[in-house]
Formats: sequence, structure tokens, C-alpha cells
Amino acid sequence: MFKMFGNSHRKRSGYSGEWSQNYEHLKEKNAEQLTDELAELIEAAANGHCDMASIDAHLDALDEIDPLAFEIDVKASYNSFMSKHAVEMEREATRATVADVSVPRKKHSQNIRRLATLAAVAAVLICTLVLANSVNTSIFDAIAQWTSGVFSFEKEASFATIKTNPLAEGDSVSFDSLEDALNAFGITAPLAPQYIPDRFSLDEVCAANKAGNIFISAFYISNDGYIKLRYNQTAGSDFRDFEKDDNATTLYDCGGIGHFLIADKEKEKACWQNGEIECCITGNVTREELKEIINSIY
Amino acid sequence: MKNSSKRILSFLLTLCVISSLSAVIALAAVQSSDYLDSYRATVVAQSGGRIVILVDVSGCGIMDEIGANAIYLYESQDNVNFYRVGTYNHNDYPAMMTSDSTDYYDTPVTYSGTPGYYYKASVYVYAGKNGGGDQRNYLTESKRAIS
Repeated sequence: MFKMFGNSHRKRSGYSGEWSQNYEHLKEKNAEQLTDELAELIEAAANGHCDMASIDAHLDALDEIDPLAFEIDVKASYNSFMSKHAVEMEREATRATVADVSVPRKKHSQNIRRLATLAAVAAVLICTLVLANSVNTSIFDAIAQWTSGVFSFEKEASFATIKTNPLAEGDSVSFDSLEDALNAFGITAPLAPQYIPDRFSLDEVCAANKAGNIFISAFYISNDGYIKLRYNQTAGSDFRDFEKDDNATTLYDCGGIGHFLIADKEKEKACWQNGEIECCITGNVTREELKEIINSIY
Repeated sequence: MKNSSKRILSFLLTLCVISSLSAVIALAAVQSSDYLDSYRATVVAQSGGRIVILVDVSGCGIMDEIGANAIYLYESQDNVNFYRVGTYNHNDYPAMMTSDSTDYYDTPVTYSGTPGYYYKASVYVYAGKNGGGDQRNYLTESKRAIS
């Protein structure tokens, strides 16, 4: 058995005095006895009862009775071991370095991605809120409308159709009333209002056939404004764009049809789709008057 | 927080603020018109490859001038890549504008297209009164010319 701790241990611990006193009797024992006692001490150390001083003393005593045939240089042995297994040591060191760096880097990029996603979501939400606030409307209204300046109508219903066409392509004609015009084209679905505010009087009703598309218009005037009713035959595409102000567009249900109500400064507008006919009303009327006009259609 | 995370977050928040400001500014710039009420245009495909552009403009009352300032016609073989094939200006095509009217509803432009090809138009509608006026752009959907 080699010495576990060199002379430095004895010198450092300062056990020399006590050792001399407690372990003098070891000099009287032979090598075999010392070896047996050392084995017991080591077994006891393995079981948790470690008496280093006694182990050292036994080793020193063995050195005196039966010294090792060769010199042991611990430092030199360590250096020799390191140089023999240098490549493996380097690999271990590199692996440790890469592992140390790569795991944090992977975690780091994952953190960045999470943070970026959160920030993007927050940015979108903030933008939507500011936009909604700027148009003075609820957030859901803001999401529903495309811009505040133009409203484009895309909803379809399924009632009114043009059953007859008395006009040749390129022709236009005037009528005495809106009902006459609608009847001339065989439109039986409710499209013409029965109520127009008293201050307005009928100015003109006309119809035209351009490239096979029918257009009917009724124009009412008053001292300070007008009401215009327009009915366009559409092919389900190229819907009309309406000028509007920043107020939100609202949906008004009447007669089983949704009518979009649009504010445009001092004018109120309504537009809806009935079958193949795109209908709209524009006029210098109040929102309530507009609703009454719509109600009178059905 | 790491520097790169801070930079990304700062950039996104800056973008958010700029977008919000731009949106507010854009909204402030979009005004409803004192001249134009509503408008649309459509390309009509007729037999023999004929392409007709229908322009429909409603003015805010009786306008001194109402119609289309300019029309650009585009053609495509695949309905993806379009190329301009016609430019029409109301000075050269007087039928594109009418006067003293509340509405304009007409087909001022006809083009001899190729059956099977696609056509769409960019129309600049206009309404004016007492020296003032407004113009808006309307882009039609594409239609396929028929034989």
C-alpha cells in the first residue's frame, strides 16, 4: 500500500506530537501485524469511521519496518498520466466547452423567438387599439371596416331580378315615377320606398341600358338638398365604392335584408343588395329619416 | 434581458408606434368628397373579343362635369401578369365626361380584345362643380374576352 498522504500531511496537521504519544507502540509490531491493522482501519474508513491519523501512523511504521523498493513521485506520476491521455483530455475539455456554449445559445435563440412573437402580437394589438380609437369607434367596428374613407359593398341577397328589358343597348328613357320604371323592367320585389320626406319633390326618373347592364335612378330635390335612389344590375362583381366620413358603418335589418348605413358629412347613405340589383339611397336627410324611408320599402 | 432581445423588442415597438401614427395620419388625409357620392366601373366582355368599359359615377347633386378623367386598359394571357394596352383621356375621348348631370352612366371606351385573354381597367372617375372637383381611382375585376 502506498502512502495516501505524504510527509507534508504530518507536517501540516501538526499531529507529530500526538502521533509520537499515541502510536509509539506501532514500532513494536511487525509488518504483517501493521498490514492487518491497516486493512481494518481502511475497512472502518469505508464504513464511515475514518481515522486518518491512525492510518498515517500505520503507513509510517510500515515504511520504517519494510520500506518500498522504489521511490514514488506523485507529481511526476500525475504528469505522466496526463501526457499519456492528453488527446482524450482535450476532447473531454472541448465537449464540455461546446456543451456549455451550445445549450445556452439554443435557449437564448428560443427566448428571442418567444420574445419577438410576444412583441409582434402586442404591436398588432396596440395598432388596432390606436386605429379604433382614432376613428372613434369600437375595436370590433374597426376590424370590420377596411378604411374610413371608402366603403365597398359585397353582400348579396336573393330576391329582385330583371325579368324584361324594354331598352335596346345604349338607349335611355325617362319615367313618371320610380314604380313605373321598376314595373317596366319586370321587377316585382320591393325596391321603391313609399315614404319620402315632404320637403322633397320628384325631379326625374330615368333608366339606361349600357352594355347590357340596366341602371334606374330617381332624383328628388328640396330647397337645401336632394335624395337620390339608384338601382344597378350587377353581375356579382365590381361593386360600388361609397365616399364616407370617419363614422362607423352600421347594419340596419329591415324586410329580411341587411342595409348598410353610411354617414358622409351632411348626407346619409344606405346601400343593400336585393337579388341581382344593387340598391342605394343618398340624401340630405337624418339617420332617422333614412330609416323611415327604408322601412317604407317593405 | 440580452441585447439582441432588447433590440428586437425596441424595433417592433417603434414599428408599432410609427404604424399607429401613420394610420392616424392616413385617416386624417382621407376625406369624403364634396363632389363624388359613389362610383364603380366594370369590364364587359362581348362577342367577337369586344371589350367594353362601363363607367358609373354618382355625384353629390348636379355636377358641372362628371365622368372619367382617364382610363387605362390592361391585358393578360394568364390573368396574372397584366400589360397596358390602352390609354384613354377625356380630352381625346369626350364621351368620357358629361356636364350638368347628377350621374354618369356610359360605355365610353371599346377595345378589340383577343378571345381567351383577360382584361381589366383602372378608371379615374371625376366630378366637379364651380371650379372644384375630386378624382378617385377604381380598379375593375378582370374579365375574359369571348369569341
